[in-house]
Amino acid sequence: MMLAHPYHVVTPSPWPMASSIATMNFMLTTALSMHGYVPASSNLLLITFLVLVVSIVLWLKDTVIEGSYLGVHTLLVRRGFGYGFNLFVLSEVLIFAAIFWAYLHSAMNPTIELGLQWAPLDIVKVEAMELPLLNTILLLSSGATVTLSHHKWINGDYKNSTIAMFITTLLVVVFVVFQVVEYITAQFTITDGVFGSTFYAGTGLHGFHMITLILMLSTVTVRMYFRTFSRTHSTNLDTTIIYSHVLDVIWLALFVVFYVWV
Amino acid sequence: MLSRVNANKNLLKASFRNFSISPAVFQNKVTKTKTSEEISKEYNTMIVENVKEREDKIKEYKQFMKEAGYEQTIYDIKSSEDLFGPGPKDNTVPTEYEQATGPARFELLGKMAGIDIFDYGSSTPNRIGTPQDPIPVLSQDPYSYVGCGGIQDKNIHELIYLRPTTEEVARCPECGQCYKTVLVPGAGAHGGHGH
Repeated sequence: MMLAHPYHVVTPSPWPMASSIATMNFMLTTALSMHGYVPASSNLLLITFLVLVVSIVLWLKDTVIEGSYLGVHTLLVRRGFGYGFNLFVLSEVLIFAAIFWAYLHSAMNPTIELGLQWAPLDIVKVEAMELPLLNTILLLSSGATVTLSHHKWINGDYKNSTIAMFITTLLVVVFVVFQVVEYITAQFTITDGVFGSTFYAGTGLHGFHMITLILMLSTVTVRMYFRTFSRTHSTNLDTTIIYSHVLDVIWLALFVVFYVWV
Repeated sequence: MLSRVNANKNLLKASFRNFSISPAVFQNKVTKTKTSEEISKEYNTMIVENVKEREDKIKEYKQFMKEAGYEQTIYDIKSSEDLFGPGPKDNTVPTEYEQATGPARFELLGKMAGIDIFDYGSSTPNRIGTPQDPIPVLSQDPYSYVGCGGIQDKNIHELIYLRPTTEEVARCPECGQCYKTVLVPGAGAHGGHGH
């Protein structure tokens, strides 16, 4: 009648293959359009991105059904998700460590070509105490609201926890919008020497992660609204909270090193 | 293979959970050598003797849980069709009892009754099995596959797969642990044609 083991033996699924191919298509199209092989008017970039999003959404849908409606996510399976996500977070931190290294390599000892100063000669830097400070405040507020939401959820306050999670999502959306504004108004580009390259690599990678975080937070908000989590079984919520805090901390490091210290 | 050993242990644990007596075969010291027939007989007798006591205890437990607000207990589960919760009340966050389904619910109800359904613990025997006094491995079939991991706290090694039968003792080449298959009650009903 029952399973004699707590493991989840996954049924055959097309989504790993579908999302792999979609990722490859998106990456190739991005690279080719950046080098002018794919005309910008062809909408290929948008199409491949949508295919990627659709395959991810369908895969997640299957996972949610398995976890919430079939109940195959036993304690052991959840522990596995936890390990997997924490290792993913570790790899993210290491990617950022590499970018910080690249930045600090030039910043700690500016060469003669940079004018022996950091930021390099003639670079008009972004004012740290203007938009970046506001972004920092937004991000820290989102950290506060996500914690509020988590506490409310654990204590059974359905309405307020969902509202707090929705506010968190909005705060992160506003952060990304302000980041776009900052990029548009910045006086230097990614091709302006090592400063431009490392600056946009660091803040841009963080920005991409914030877009991912928006997707994760919206998923969690919707799942909270439809109550597919319980008080103690909410792996998706837990991992999203970890992710948002990790990105908060990375932003604080970016803010100090890339904006204030320059 | 290992899960089979676990399942057998579970069967024993689940059957004997509510008794003060635990089966002698799983105790540290077994002085007398027993044949598989004797062990099987002992197992049967203990079940028959304790049915009444067991039912009383289950009834008591169900009553206790009902008063605490839990209508469903692990003893109400007859098939996977029963593994559904009552669902959350309006405008509240569901608890795991209200929401969990499937194997996760089975595990939860087991935990509420103090039964480790999937047996997360070690399946390594805590005594040394000898050719005269092997570790019994309960099975529906006249043979079983055992992954020997050594002896608890004494000699742990990589899994070595063995195939003891009801006739022959299988001995691990690494640690010398001996295993023998013991048929569970009611086994052999469809035996003999290669299941």
